[in-house]
Amino acid sequence: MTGKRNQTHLDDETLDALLDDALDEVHARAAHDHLAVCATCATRLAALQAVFIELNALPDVPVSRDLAPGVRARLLGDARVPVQPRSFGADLLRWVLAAQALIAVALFMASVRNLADQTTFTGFLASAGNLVSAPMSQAGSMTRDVSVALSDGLSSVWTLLISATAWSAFTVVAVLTCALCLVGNGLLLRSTSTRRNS
Amino acid sequence: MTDSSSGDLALLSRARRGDSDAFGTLVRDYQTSVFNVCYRLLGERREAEDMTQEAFVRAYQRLDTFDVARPFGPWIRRVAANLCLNHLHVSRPDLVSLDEDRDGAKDETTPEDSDPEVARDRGERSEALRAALLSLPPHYRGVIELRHYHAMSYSDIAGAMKVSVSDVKSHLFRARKLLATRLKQYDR
Repeated sequence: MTGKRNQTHLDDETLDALLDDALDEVHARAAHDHLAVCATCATRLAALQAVFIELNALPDVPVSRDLAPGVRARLLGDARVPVQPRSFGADLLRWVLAAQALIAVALFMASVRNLADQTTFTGFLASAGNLVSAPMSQAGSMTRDVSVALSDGLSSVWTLLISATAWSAFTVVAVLTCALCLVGNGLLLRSTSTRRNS
Repeated sequence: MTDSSSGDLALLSRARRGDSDAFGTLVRDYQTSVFNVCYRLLGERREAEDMTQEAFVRAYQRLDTFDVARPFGPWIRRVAANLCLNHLHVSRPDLVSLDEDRDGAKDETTPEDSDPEVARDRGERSEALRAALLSLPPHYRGVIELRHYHAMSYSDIAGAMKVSVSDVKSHLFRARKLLATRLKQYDR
């Protein structure tokens, strides 16, 4: 029999398996039959059982500090926290919007810089028309030259029209720039926030 | 030892949706039992606390694979045990080689770890048992942890530790024998 030691006693692994409840029914019954008549094996089993009891009764040690804040900090700051799967199309859209916003900002800054260089109100308006809406301002410039040549009165009327057009175009570009910046950055920030919170 | 309840289920559902506050509550509920897994295996309080944090972070990352119908406690403790066993394997490969002379296990202990007198000075029998546990080679400690504190079967332990079932039986037997010897020394 596998569980015998020196043909008479149970071997250590059988005693272990018995305590672990890992013997099949036949071997377990044979082991119990042997233990009932063998004081040596019964004593060995008792000694082993004491280890089991001690191990199972080992008290828990309290934690010296609350670990939750550290875990939460790791979760919020850890780049290894799983990221929600995102589609390639959504990523592309975000980057296109961001690029558009960047271009719009650059155009806007260039316009503002040129406008700021103008010392007279007429120059300011003309520059705004030129930089903000090139085709429109080109047409405006050509017509303005003609109008100046015709008469001061007509020129004044035309300047007013040009200024109105330039300001409209300027306002449209400014609004578009802001919208693109907000949408583009908002989407980018949202993706970062989702990554951190997921 | 805390175990899963309907409260855990709600917290787990919220945590899965990215609610770190809910997960923080779970950490508070289970940190002691998880810490004790790490402490029994590693024996150093600071290291055990770091590993406990790491276990919770890993668990959070794998929450989508966790079956919420099962209790959270055994799962998170198992995550911690695996983490510590891997840590022991990585940081102390010389101590966990399964090809070593198994009867030479006593030589691997430090005098402070193995000396029951040290534990007696502390006046705690449980400290003596802890010292005896820590004096065991890591793979012996691992099988004791998984069998006694996680109630895992021989075959599950074999799978977790990547050894054969006969190795598990052998490690368990030798580990318990060493523990009994050291506790007997303490009793003298």
